[in-house]
Amino acid sequence: MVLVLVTLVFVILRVMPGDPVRAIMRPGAPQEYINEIKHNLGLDRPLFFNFRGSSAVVIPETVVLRTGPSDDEEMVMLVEKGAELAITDRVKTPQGDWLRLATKPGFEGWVTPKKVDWLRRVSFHFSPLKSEEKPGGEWVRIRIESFGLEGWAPAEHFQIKVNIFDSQYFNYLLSLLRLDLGTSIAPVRGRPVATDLKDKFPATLELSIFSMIVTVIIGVSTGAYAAHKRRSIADYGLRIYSIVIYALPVFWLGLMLQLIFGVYLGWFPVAGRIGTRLAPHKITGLFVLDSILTHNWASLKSALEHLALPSFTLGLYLSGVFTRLTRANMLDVLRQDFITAARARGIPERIVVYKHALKNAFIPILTMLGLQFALLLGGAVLTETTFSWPGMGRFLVERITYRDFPSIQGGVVFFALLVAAVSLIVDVIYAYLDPRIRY
Amino acid sequence: MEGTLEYRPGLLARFFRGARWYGAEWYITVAGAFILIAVVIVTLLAPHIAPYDPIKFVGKPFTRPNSQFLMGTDNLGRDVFSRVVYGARVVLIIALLSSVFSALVGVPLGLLSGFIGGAVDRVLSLIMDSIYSFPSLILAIAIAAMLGPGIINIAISIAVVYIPTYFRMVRGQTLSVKEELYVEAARSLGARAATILRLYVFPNVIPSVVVVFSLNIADAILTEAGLSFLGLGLPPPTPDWGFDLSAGRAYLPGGYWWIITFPGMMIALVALGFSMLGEGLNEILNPRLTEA
Repeated sequence: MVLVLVTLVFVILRVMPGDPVRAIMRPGAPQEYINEIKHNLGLDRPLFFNFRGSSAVVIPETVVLRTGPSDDEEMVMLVEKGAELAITDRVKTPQGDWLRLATKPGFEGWVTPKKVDWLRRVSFHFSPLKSEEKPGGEWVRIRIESFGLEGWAPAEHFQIKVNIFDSQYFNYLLSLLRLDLGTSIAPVRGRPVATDLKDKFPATLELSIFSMIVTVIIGVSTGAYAAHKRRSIADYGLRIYSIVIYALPVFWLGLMLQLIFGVYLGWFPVAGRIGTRLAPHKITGLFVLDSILTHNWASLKSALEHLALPSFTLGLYLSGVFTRLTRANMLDVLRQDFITAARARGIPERIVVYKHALKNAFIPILTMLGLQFALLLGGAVLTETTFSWPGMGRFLVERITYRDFPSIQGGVVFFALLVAAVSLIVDVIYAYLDPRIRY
Repeated sequence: MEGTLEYRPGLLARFFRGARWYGAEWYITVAGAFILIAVVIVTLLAPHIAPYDPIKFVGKPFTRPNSQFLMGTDNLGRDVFSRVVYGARVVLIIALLSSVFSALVGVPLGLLSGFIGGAVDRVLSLIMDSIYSFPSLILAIAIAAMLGPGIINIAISIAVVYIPTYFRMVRGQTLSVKEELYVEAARSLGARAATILRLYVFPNVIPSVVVVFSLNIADAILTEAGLSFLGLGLPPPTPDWGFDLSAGRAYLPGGYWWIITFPGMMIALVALGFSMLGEGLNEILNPRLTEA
C-alpha cells in the first residue's frame, strides 16, 4: 500500500507531463540551460530501469575527459587506469558512443589549470596537489572531497558495469528507506526536506488533535441527539446541517470565523500559532503540551487562544460527516434487543440512549475517525493557509510557489506514510475493541 | 412507470405525488435542482446580468455594498457582484470537465475490473484504493503544481483524484450484477462478454453513476475552489471565487467583509446544490440503501 502510494507520487511528479525545471525558469529560457539544470538535478537519469550502464572503469593508462561528446571539445580531466566513474549520460554521435562521466566524491586526479581556476571560484572543498606536463599540456593534480566533476569520453575506453536498478525510481526508494527525502532546491538550497518536515509536523499534529476533539464532541453529540429525537424538527435540522456544513469551503468558514471572532469581537487572534516571544521550551514541538510540561502558563493561554479558531474551523467542517454517521449507527443500535431489554427494565430513556446505545455505536465511529484522517489532512492544508498556521500544509503550499519539487515530493510522500500509518493503527484498535474481528 | 397509467396527472400533481412517495428526499432533490438551474441560468446569461466588466476597475476600491455596487468593490475597485457572476463560469466548467473525465476513466475501468476479475482486478483495485485513501486535495495540489495553470490542467488534476470514487462503486455493482440470473442466462445463450457488459451490466450501474456524478461535482467544486485559493488556479485577473477569497483574505483585518463573503457564499451554494441533488437522487434511485 505504501509502496503503491510512493510509486504513484513518483509517477505523478516525474513521469507525467509538466517539467519542474521549465516551471522554475522564465519562459523562453534556452533549452540547453534547461537540459543542463535537469542534468545537475539528476532528472535526466533513467526513470525505472537503467540499461545504459551505471559505472565505468578506465581500461587504458589515461583517458582524457572533454566538455562535450566530441574530440573537438575542450579537455577538462585526465583519469587513470582502474578509476571508477559514474555514468550520468550516454549519447551516440557520428563520432561514436560517448559517455558522460562523473567522478565520485573524494576523487583524486588531473585537471586543466583552467578547471582549477573555475573550481577556486565555486568551491572550497578541493586541494591542488602538484602540477605536471603531460600529453595535451599542463595538468594539475587535485583532490576533491565533497562533489564530483563531469566530463565526456568515448565509451570504448571503459569497461561498463550495468546495474539496471540504478535509476531514479529505485534510488529514490532506497533513500526513502534511509528516511532521506532529499534536499530542497529553493528557497534554501541544500536544506534536507526531512528537517523541514520535522519542524512543521508538530504544528499540524496539534491542529489535527484539537480539531478531532471538536469534531467528535460536536458530531457525536448532535448525531446521538438526532437519533434520539428521530423524525423531529431537530432531526431534520441536523440532517440539513450535515449536508450544508460539508458543502461549505473550509477556508471560507475559517475566514468568516476570523471576521466575526477575530476582527469584530476581537476574542481570538486570527493568525499564527503563539504570541511573540511566548513559544515554550521545545520538548515535543506541541506547544500546548510543552507549555504544560514546562509550567509556562502564559504560553499555554496564548497557544490555546491561537488554536481556538483553526481547530474549531476544521472540527466544524468534519463534524457533519460524524453527525450523520453517529445518527445512522445509533439508529442501528437502538433497534437491537438489548436496548429493548434495557427499556423493559425501566431504565430511563435518556440513559438508554446516551449510555447503552452510544457506547455500542462508538466502534464504527472510531473507524470513521481513521478514514476521515485523509479528509482532515486535506482540510488542514486549507485551514493552515487561512490562519497562517506554520504546519505541513502551509509548508507544502509555500514550496509550491518556489517550485521546490523535492519538498513537494517529500511532503506528499510523508502524507502518504501518515495515512498508511493511521489506517494501520485504526485497524489494530478496531481489532482490539471488537474481538470478533480477526485479520 | 408512468406510461402504463391511463391517467396522466399534471405537473403540479406529479410534484406532490413525488413528495408523498419519497418524503423529505424529494424536497431535498428539488431544492438542489432549483439552486442548480438558477446558477446555470446566471452562468449562461452572465454578460446580461453582470452590470460591469469583471476585470475592469469601475469604482473606488473598498466601496461598501450599495445600490450602485450590489456587493461592493474589491481592493482594485472591481465590482464584486460582476466577478461573482462571471466566476460561476470557471468553476462550473472545471467541475463538469473534471467529473466527466473521472467518470470516463473510472466507469469503464470499474466495469472491466469487476467483470474480468483476477490479477487485473487486484492490481487496479490496489492502485485505486491507494489513491482513494490519500488526502484528495493534497494529491490534486501535487498534480496541479506539476501541470501548471490552465482550465484543462486543473480539470485533469481534480479528475485523477476522483477516478477511484467511480471505480469502486462501479466495480462493486458489477460484481453483484454479474451473479444475477439474467446475466447467467445471457451467457448460456452465448452472448459475448462485451454484449453482456453493454446490455446487462452497464444499465444497472447508471443510477449509481448519476448519483456519484452529482456528488462528485460538489466535491470537484470545493477542490477547485481550494486549489485556486492556494494559488494553483487560473492566473488572475480571471474571475474565480477561490482566488478572490485568497486575495480578499489580506484585507480581512480591515473589516472589508463583502470581498470575501459573497464569493465564498457562492461556492457553498453551488456545492450545496449538487450535493443536495446527489443525496436526494441517491435515496430515490437506490431505495434499498434507505434506512427503514
